[in-house]
Amino acid sequence: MSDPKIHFRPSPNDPLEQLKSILLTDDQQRIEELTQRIAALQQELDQKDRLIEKIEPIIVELLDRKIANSREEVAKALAPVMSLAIKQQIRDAKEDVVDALYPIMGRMVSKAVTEAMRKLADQINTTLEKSFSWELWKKRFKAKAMGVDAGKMILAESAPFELDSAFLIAKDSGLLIAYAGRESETAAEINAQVVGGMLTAIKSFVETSFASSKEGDLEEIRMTDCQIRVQSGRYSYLAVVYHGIPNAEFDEMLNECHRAIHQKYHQKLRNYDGNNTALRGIEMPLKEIIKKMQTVEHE
Amino acid sequence: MSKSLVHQKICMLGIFAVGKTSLTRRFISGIFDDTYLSTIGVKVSQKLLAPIETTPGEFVQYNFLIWDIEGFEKSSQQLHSYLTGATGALLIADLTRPETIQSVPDMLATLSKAAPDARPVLIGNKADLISADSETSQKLKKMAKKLDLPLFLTSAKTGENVEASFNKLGLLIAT
Repeated sequence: MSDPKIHFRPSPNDPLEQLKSILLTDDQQRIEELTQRIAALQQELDQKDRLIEKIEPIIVELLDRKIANSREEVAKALAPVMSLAIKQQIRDAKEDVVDALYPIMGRMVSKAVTEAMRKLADQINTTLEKSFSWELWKKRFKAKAMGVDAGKMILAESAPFELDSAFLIAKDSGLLIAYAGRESETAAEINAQVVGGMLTAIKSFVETSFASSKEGDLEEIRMTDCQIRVQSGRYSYLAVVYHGIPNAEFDEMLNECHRAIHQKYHQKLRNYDGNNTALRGIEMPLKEIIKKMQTVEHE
Repeated sequence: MSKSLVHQKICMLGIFAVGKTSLTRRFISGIFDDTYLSTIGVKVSQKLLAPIETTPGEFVQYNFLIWDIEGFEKSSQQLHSYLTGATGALLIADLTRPETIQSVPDMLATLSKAAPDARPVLIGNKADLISADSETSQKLKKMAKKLDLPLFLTSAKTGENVEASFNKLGLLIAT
């Protein structure tokens, strides 16, 4: 490429050239300056790194403005790569994605469970309404007088419900994080740490041996006179020991309790190292569900 | 002065009949029974260690939750899940059975994979049945040096070095 600079070299003997020189000196300087600036710009455009360096500080602002002006256009432009980006993110940072989704998923699941239980209670009520047995009529009057649902009352009466104890256990190590019991026995008296460890060993054995997928969790252990309901969370699991048939709100209440614990102590549970002092107060939600279930039972 | 109570998951790892359950019983209850009972799955027990001074005036007291795991044969998904979350382990060989020493590198590799932060201590058990300078003891000492593991020659029968090996594990976890 030839040198773009324009040079006027007046000949000392040529009057026309001398005149041109006098008239065009300013223009000549401006043209020379502009030429240099164009060359510098061209160089910046040709060098990828320098170009990125120039654009980088304004990219976020540019996107913000574009989204503010035409949200739909941006969504349309990004849509084809969004699913790929999410897949990539899940592959690269699965833990972070699960952490972000966990509270929402818990709510969705509990909503679905509550709805299913409500439908079951409705079905039972419909069946009861169609029957004419004297005993059923008595129960229906009793329920009405108490202001409770007849279906739920009959279910509860058929097998009185008692929530005995609740254990919050670290998912990987099986260490007991918190314990609450119906009786006045302390965690030490019932050897709760050992119970937590053995329960984890059993859970781990069943899940490894029988689950069809990696995500399969043990949810219930049933014995003749009592049951253990297990709710797995991200870093801990909740195990409650109970007798009888729980009411429709029981699962929702456990879900809510475990979800609240995870939300409040998420970071501390993630970094749990066996020191329970950092988690002081974490047993309160467990004590509350024991108390609440006793209240329900006495209603 | 401050003291914090910290629970720790400790695993007993070794092939069948090296004395895992006997060592656990000796440590927890101070008793020994020479009837051999094969452990099925896992048995969890606990013992509170004496407080350890971590920095001047600061003490930590460990409550060891000891997972006595059934005989190690090879690495498996089940074993992996039992070891997950452990902060320490005793890798046990039987001084009367030289072949049990050969499984030590495998046990160490399995432990490192399942519980990367776990601190291991190597144990040569049944020291009451063999002299300290026997060929097997020397072999185990070489293995400990090669793998850079602290070694204790113990006897669940007499109680020799049993408490010391668990205390060493406590010190390793504390530092």
